[in-house]
Amino acid sequence: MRTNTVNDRSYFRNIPAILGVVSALSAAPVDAQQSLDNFTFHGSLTAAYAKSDGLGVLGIPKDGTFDYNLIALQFGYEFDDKNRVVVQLLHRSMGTSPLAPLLPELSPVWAFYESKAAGFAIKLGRSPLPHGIFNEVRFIGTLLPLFRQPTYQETFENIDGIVVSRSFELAHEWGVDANVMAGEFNVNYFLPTATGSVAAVQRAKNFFDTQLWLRTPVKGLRLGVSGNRFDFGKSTTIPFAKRPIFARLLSVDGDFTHGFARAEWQDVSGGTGIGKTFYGNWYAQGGLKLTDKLTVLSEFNSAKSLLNPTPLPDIMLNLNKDISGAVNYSPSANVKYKFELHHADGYSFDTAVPTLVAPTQAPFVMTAAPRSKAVYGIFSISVSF
Amino acid sequence: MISLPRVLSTTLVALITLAGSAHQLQAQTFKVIVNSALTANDVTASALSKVFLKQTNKLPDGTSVTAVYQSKNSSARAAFDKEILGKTVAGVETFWQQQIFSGKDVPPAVKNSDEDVVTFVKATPGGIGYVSAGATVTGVKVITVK
Repeated sequence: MRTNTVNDRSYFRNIPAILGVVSALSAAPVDAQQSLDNFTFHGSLTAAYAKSDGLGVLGIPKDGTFDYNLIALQFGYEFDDKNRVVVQLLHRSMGTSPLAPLLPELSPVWAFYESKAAGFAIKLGRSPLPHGIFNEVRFIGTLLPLFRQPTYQETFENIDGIVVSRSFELAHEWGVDANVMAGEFNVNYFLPTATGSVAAVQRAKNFFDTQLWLRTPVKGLRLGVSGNRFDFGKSTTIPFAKRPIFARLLSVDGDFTHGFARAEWQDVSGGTGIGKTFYGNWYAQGGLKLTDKLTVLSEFNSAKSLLNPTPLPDIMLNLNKDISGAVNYSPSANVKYKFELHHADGYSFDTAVPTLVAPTQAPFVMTAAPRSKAVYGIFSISVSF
Repeated sequence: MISLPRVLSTTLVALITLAGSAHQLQAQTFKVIVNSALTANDVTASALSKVFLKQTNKLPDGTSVTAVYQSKNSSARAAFDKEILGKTVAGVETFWQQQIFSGKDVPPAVKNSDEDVVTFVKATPGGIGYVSAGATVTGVKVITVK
């Protein structure tokens, strides 16, 4: 059984973002120079063809799809060197993903006012959410080694609220980049459950988050840690509605002259005892820059989730594993071609697959069903300006 | 017969000579200019890097500055990016893409020629830029990179 739930269509959530920017604009300096020179316009386009050898996965069907694109347009206006507004509009084609009908064709993923003073940067409105290595650039193909980074799933995309950032320079080339934020965000998810799968968009409230980056004296190496909490109010329509929910994320990011190595580990949990919520994932990736333009890389990622087949005991399901290899070719910093091949196995596919086998005799505990598998490939071209 | 220590010492001298001449060539490829009202006469490469990556808008003496880039096709840009910012031109472009698309910042203004950079620096209080070693720099001040 699959349930498509639309509790909070994200475009309804554009209203507070727009209101935030409008109110921020009214607070901007009244003597701001009205000049075209103060406008900035940037964009990024990724067009892809993707195909699976069997089961649909991440919106990629067996018969292939060209409906797998990302378009981000970003507009900025600087009132002066301390005050600006930025809006980013996003279009995503997600192939045959069950999430596709739940997301708007065009979404203002950012609409924030930023003020810088005394070393602090304060963003108000709908802002990029500093969370891990790739979260803020998750739709910018020229900056990603693979089409997507699955660690952040379809959530933590942005925040409606406030983000305060500050960098600190320490002795001996050490440094800290600190971000503190509070507000709300959308959780878009597609998860197997004990009885099938569920796709939904839900509003996370009372969100408090910290992301710290420690810059090391080793050029290109930094370490990150993030911790946050949120809840879903009184919602009972989702499998992880216990509250509050706590999430932790650890990141290691090494980007060097001739290669890179990165890893991130995350868990999300809430509640205690029988029926508690848990979702965890991690990935590691490494690449060699063979020339200035050509890079080869590989990635392994894995996720697990606690299922609650009430009244039977909870069971931890190794949700999916994805092993990939890829080639990146960048004739310039603004253009990147990527070919990637993935082997996925587990229970996280676009069509529901068996997840649990019901017990027929004592002890009455569920067991995991045989894992399903798919091989899929993505060829993409990304351009940024 | 040539001895191993002699080969090694000769090689070492050659490498030091080459390194010295290479550094000299790099140093002659561009010069850093500032608005003539600025009091600074020199700046460290590290401080210059922070200004051009917009990690600060102040020189070590506390003077506020506004940086300007050359276009990515210029030889002065290639040399400046490599020697001062420690990156290739493409590496610097990628850095700014990350800044732009993570909502952090946008790059400084970009000018297409030495003349345009000189004009910008001359007209902008706190202006700072770089031009080819042979460029005419009337009306601005050349500062030394330490």
